[in-house]
Amino acid sequence: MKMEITKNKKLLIIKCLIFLFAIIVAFLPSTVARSSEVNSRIVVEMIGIDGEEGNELTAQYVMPADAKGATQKDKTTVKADTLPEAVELLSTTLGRRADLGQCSVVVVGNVVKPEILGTLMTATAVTADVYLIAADNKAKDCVGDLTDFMKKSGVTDADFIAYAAKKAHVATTTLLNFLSNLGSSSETAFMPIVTVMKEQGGGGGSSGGSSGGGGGGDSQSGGGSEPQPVGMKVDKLALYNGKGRVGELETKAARGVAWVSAPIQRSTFTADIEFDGIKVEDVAAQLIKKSSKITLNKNGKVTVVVNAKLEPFGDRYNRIQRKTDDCSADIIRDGFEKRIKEEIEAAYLDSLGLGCDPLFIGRQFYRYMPDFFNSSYTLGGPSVEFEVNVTLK
Amino acid sequence: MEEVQAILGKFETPENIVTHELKCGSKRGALLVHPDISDTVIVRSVIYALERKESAELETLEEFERYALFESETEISEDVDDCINKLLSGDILLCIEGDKRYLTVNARSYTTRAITEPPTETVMRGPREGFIEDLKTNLSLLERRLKTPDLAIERMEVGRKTKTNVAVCYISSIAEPTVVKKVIKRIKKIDIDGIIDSHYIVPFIEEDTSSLFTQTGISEKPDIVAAKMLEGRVAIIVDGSPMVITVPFLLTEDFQAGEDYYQRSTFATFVRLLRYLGFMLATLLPALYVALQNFHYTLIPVRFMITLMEAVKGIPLSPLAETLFVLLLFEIIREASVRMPRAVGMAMSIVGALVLGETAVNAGVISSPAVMVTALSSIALFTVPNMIGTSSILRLVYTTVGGLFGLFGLILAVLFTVHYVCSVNAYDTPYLAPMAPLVYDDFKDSIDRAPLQKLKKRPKSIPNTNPTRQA
Amino acid sequence: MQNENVKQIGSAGESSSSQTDVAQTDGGSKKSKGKQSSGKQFVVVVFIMAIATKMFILPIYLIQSAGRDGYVVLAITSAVELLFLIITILAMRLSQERDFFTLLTSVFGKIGAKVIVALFALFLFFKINVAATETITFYTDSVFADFDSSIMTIVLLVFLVAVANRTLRALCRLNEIITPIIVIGITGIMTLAIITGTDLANIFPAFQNMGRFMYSLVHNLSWMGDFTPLVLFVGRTEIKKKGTAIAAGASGLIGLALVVFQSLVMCSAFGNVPELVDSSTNISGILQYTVGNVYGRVDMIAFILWSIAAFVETAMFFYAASRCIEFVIGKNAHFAVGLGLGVALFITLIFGLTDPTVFEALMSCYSTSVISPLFTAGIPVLALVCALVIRRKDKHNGNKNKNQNDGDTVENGASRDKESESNAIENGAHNKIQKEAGDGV
Repeated sequence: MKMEITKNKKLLIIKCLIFLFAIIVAFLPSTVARSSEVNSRIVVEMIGIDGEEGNELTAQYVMPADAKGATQKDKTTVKADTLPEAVELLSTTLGRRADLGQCSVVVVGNVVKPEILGTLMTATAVTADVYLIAADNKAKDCVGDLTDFMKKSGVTDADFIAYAAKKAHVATTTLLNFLSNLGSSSETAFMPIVTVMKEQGGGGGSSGGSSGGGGGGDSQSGGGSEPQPVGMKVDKLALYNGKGRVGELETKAARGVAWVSAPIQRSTFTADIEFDGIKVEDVAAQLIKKSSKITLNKNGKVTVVVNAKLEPFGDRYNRIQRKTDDCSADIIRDGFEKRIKEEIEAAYLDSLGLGCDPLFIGRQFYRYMPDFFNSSYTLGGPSVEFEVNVTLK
Repeated sequence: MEEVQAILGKFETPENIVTHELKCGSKRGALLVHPDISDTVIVRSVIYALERKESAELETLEEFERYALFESETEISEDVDDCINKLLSGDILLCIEGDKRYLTVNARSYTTRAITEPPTETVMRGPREGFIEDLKTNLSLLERRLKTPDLAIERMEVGRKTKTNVAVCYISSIAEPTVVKKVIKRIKKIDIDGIIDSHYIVPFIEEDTSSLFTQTGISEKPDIVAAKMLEGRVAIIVDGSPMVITVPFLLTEDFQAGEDYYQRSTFATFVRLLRYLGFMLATLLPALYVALQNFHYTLIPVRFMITLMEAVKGIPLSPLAETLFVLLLFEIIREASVRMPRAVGMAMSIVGALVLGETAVNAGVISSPAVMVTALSSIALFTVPNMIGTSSILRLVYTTVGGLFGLFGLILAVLFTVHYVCSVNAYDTPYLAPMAPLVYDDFKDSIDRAPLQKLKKRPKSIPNTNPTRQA
Repeated sequence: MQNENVKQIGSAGESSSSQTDVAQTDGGSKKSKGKQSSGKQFVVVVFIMAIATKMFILPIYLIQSAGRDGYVVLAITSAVELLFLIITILAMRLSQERDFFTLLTSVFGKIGAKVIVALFALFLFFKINVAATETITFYTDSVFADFDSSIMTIVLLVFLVAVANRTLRALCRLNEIITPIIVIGITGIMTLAIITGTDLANIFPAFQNMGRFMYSLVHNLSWMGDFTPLVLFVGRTEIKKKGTAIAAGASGLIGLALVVFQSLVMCSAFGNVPELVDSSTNISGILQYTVGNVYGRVDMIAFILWSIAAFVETAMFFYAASRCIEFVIGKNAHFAVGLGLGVALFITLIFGLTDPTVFEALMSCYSTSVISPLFTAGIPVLALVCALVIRRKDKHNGNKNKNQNDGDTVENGASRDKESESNAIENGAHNKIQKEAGDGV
């Protein structure tokens, strides 16, 4: 038989195929099912993980409200055997499919094992780029407080916390970054701790008026007696190693980590400045740009170099300028250099005490002197020098 | 009279032809006139000329032609069918007893429309003349603009019954001979009973007749046609139609307007870019809306997504069904308002747009973003008026594909379309030039519109024999 | 004189008479074809072939097998591929307007050529599968929430069959027109790679585990061979100008460099934690970037733009495979062959490769790791050798016939079918003008 296909026959075949295709497509379950469309979804903005296995999830979500143009922000907590099951349970609880892909912040409870975060990244829709925030205690409470706080202040996006941390000169981290740090040869990772400040609302509290009383009260069950969130603070750093959370770095040390190992944006900070025996406290400056470098020496000596460009400002800075004529710049620079050096040293020593290496000196040895690292490197072994160079704008 | 019968016998209703008997010297003669389409003044003057005393001595057709009639267009012919054609076109036939031949005198006259500004291609600035239904007038409009002996006009008759006059015009020193030959060959090959309008010719000179994309340029304005001929194109004018066809055709021509050349080049470039953007919006916006809402909501920014969720909350239809519904609604309203008498059209659009749209949204049958997306895309549709048909279909297809297969399907559908358009190569002219294949020099007058001084060369995308247009 | 005209058609690139003529001479016939792509288009095609199928799955395998040294594996294979790309370009320059099939036939005879081409078609079929899996995996894992990959395969096939049904020229033009879009996508990704600040120093220390590295190198060789369909351009593209040839090589180099850089970024992101990398957290998750709340996921959009290249490359493989099959069966049934190939592809994709483990097993098994480099090297070398042999023969014949004929392509001229000759003459004048239009590199 000759396989000669005339043009008409070809057209007919094409038409038949298109028709067949249309029928197949029209009756395919995945095209008919409505589970995927936006109408059946719910946007989760923030999740909190609790429990050693990460099996307790608290989600802050946004739902379209009845009123036009209004949204409803709320939270819910589910508990299951494992993390992926908890995610599934979340959808069941909420009645709509929870979309974790839009989640921008993950709050980690204090007992969560760090490897659970690996599961979070690979087994759920949470992306590698979410910000990690450590809760003081339970993530559930932290998410609850933050939800109340966000409702009150009218903040819509959850990642404001991360930006707040960057502004406050505290090191931030993303999910993949955290896991990558933890997996590196330094075996250390960190995330900022967020603390929600509360005050007694309604009745006897001194600042009850300023917290905007009645508005916050209606959604709260307890009414006046419950403490109300009035603000939040990000100034501490939670340190992790392979086993879990090992401790916290206080403000000074936390800032030291940020100088060396994390991106920070135009943060403001202060230093005490001494000249001619006079001490001017808390001269403010804004960070313009910073860079850090860890250089290794053949015989295992380490130099941590931080270069920073600052723009001092404020009345105290003006006072110094007025009092000392030409050497004021040097004095101010020295003051800031000293302050930064103190912070970094504090970071190094404090974390050494916790058995951690948030400045990633070990990783640097592994990268560039792998033989030395394998044979004779120990945490805190090499002698470390800090060098800070400040330029003023 | 035998000669008269030879003509009238062929007619089903011979009473439509007026026969005027007269004496030609010693013989009898007759004048045949089709009164509906002949100029009465000419008829009267011919009768006067024949009946004069001085004409009494004349005997043969040649003598009448030379000494009695002082008309410019006369012809003596023996072909009865040809003479009938001429009679039907408005010519006067003179026959003399015993002579098998006929003398034809041109007395064609039919009322034509005045030259007006064509409604499809209005301009703010620029010539307002448009072609009309009369071939002669149309040719004169063109000839007035192209005063060169190189202007070639090849006339032919097409249509077994209509015998429509078709003129193929080109500038011989510019147009590529192979293209001209091909066009003429294709028109001559047409064997059809009637050509009513120039659009009847179009499928015969196109390469892919079932295509969604037009492969011939259609214009109602002599300035545009003249400009296109100066770029090496061939124009085809059909008697009875104000629409003039030009080939070869590039896709970019749809995005150009005559007015582009009568404006500042910067603004014209901007407007052209807008048209491309408008076309993209028109064809792709509903599809993207459906695809994003159905499958890829992660691509939507969070805040925007929340707004969207609020808007579509409680809508019973799926995004695809909803958008298709609104699109169809729009197409129906559009078609209705075009066909409606003008006075009713206004009321139509109010009912369509306000009442239907507004109440449907309020009733929660369709969501307001869907209406907005369709409205925006529909307005954008009209930025490229020549492609409304194409883009309407593309829009429906893309929306369906986007709704069923998401961005994956949408990208493939667009690639499919582009690949098809890339494969069109009528008259050795790549349809998508100068984009594919890339012809840098032609960008000056396709997406961009450079100042005229910079357009020193004719477009290379169109075959021509004389690339230089400015020294 | 006729030869002159034929040459013009070649340089015109875009002027092979009309659609039907191209369809007649296109594909599996051993008649000489009108040139179907310009030098510029070839350069663009090389770029797209270089970047398309190495972006989503391959880096994952590389990281899983070689850890932070994965990009080195890719760099090495890329260097080898580049070498054979250069050989292909050389073959094109030396082929004297004979296409690949004609070259093979005149050296190995009809049967020999068919056997070689049949094997090549099988290899191309394997490459189509790889390229299609690449795109489908990206879309199922990253872009779609839940979607049936079998439907996506059908949609892809509709496009592929349409491509096989039309000419190489149309495909080249498609390449030309979408390249700017792809370049925008790549620029976006590269910008993101820089501004999101992945710590590139994570790729150190290199070669800590040579055993793993060598294992990875051996087991990922099956990804090679992306440039092999370019032999179809032999004799159909005019790259007489040195500049065009250099540009083609350079675009291959740039494309491969971009791919290597992308996998380097990914290696540095996952260098410490290779166990976390899987296809659902591929690179689009790493460079995730949202510009405020206005523009959404810029990274994803950039990757989607890049993925268009993969579609086009799949189409290129499909086209090449269908033309090879047509040569083997000796018929120009574009639609039938395309449809048959499509059905075969559907079967392999649905019943095998949608399962990631099957795909991984296929890609890392020894036989594919041997076969791919074999074809990557063999096909261009074969083309070059054939071109050289024919060139020599021609010279020999030329000397013999010197007294009778001054043409150096006697045999070539004789084998040309009359129709295309007459077209060549007919289009002579037009070609001169289109010459610039078609080949302005």
